[in-house]
Amino acid sequence: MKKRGWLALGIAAGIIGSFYEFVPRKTIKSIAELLLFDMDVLGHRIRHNDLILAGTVLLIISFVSFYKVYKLSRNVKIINKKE
Amino acid sequence: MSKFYPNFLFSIVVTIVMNALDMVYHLATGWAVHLNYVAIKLSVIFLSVWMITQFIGIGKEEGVVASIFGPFMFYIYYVFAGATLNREIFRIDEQFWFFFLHAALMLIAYFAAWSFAKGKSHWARTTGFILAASFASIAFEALFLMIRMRIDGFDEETSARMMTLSLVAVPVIAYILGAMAGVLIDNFIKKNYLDRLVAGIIAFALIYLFSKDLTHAIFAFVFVNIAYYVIHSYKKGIISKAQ
Repeated sequence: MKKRGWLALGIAAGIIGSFYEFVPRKTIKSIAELLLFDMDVLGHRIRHNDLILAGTVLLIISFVSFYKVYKLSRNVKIINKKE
Repeated sequence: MSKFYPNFLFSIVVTIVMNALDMVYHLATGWAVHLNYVAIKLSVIFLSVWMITQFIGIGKEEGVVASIFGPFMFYIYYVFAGATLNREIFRIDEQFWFFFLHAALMLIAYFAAWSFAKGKSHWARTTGFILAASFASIAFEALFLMIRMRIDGFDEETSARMMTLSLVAVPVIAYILGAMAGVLIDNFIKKNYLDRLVAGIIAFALIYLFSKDLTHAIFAFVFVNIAYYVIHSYKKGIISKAQ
């Protein structure tokens, strides 16, 4: 994946992750109840903590994507300096 | 060996060693160790380490970043997740200062695993290996004990109350002594599999001697061998990747 792809992934994962991590459950419910995924998956009810865990996973993906963008930019700078 | 496999195993070792160090600290200082919390900690820290290792790389800078980022994400999870254990009875590592402890333990775990694979001096490699092998076995042991309690039908609070330092003290000593003896054997007799066999037998014998529990002792032997396999496999993969 190229720099632009990582950047897009970082932004998308960051927005969705932050939404589930930091926005209170009541606010999410007021926006749309569907966003709470209040259903059973393989006999397991999706709870608030599951959504927080999903948010944490998305924030990890977001951070690593931005870190990758930083690394790619730094590599380009080093190559340009050598040239 | 594909790039994915050694990275995956390296991340597993860093995660479980960090968790074992953390668990020993918690038990020694009277903080609760509970399967569900350990499972979340393992998942968040593993994902952070694996994603950085897989997509960025393995190195000093990556180690420092993963050591700060993993525990920070775990702290964030704690802040926003709802409580499942009764906080009036159990003390959980959710205070902010635990972030610094987790980061320090993560640094130890990461650089122990890293120095075994890439360390230049024999001393660094040996220390890294003893730390990684013994604490990886301790992590398997702790998971075994907690899952066993769950299978035996103990509820969350009872099993958290039963998880004490005295329960893991003998296995901790057994695994560390086993790993040290394995390294000594490896230094004198360079024969494949003899080191892990000796380490496994020492863990088996000590645990059986003190607990008189054959199943537990057999599992201890298996845990040592799994830990040795995982650690040697990621090292082989990382070295072949570098060449």
